[in-house]
Amino acid sequence: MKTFDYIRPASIAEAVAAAAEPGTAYLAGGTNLLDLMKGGITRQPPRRRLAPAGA
Amino acid sequence: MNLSISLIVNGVGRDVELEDPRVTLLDLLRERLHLTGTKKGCDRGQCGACTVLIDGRRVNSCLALAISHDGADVLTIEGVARSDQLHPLQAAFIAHDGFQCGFCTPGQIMSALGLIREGQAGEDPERVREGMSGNLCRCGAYSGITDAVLEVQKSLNEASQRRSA
Repeated sequence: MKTFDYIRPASIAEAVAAAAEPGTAYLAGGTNLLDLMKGGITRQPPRRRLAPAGA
Repeated sequence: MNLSISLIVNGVGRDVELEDPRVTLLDLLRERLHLTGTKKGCDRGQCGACTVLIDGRRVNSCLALAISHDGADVLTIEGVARSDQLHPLQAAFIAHDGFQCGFCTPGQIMSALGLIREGQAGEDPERVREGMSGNLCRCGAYSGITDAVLEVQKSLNEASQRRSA
């Protein structure tokens, strides 16, 4: 799996702003994104991933 | 970037310094905490061998980033037995031949524990099979697994009926 930055936004506004940057994806539960990233299946592997606000 | 996390694993507080956000909960348990009871089967969330309970809910630990679970209460197969006394599910898996090679068994038992806690299987074998369908057993011990889960489910129901009577 390619490396990435893990961001923990403190608010929804912060999360939305961070997610607007290219190469960013919401992690949410992660079971889907993580699986696709492990397999190198995502066409543009996200550079950064967001944890849900407050999580 | 601070990548240190604190977890409660089998009732014990553990502080872990992560060098990389890619570390899965499974690798943390196995490689860092040396709790190798949780198995790495497919590492893709398809086999269920890595099932653990996080805050009481069953999770494929291979698809959980450790860093996402700062502060979580994690239960693994190592935390299931009470000192030298097997958990009823462990005893039932032995009694019903719920395994052959045993590789999937920790995940099966954690999943069964989660299923029973969810209280959604009842005593219907079909619902137990459905509820356990995320855990593959290549030896094909499914009938024994279903019987074991049903037995424990039944004895728990009877115990709770006795308590309320």
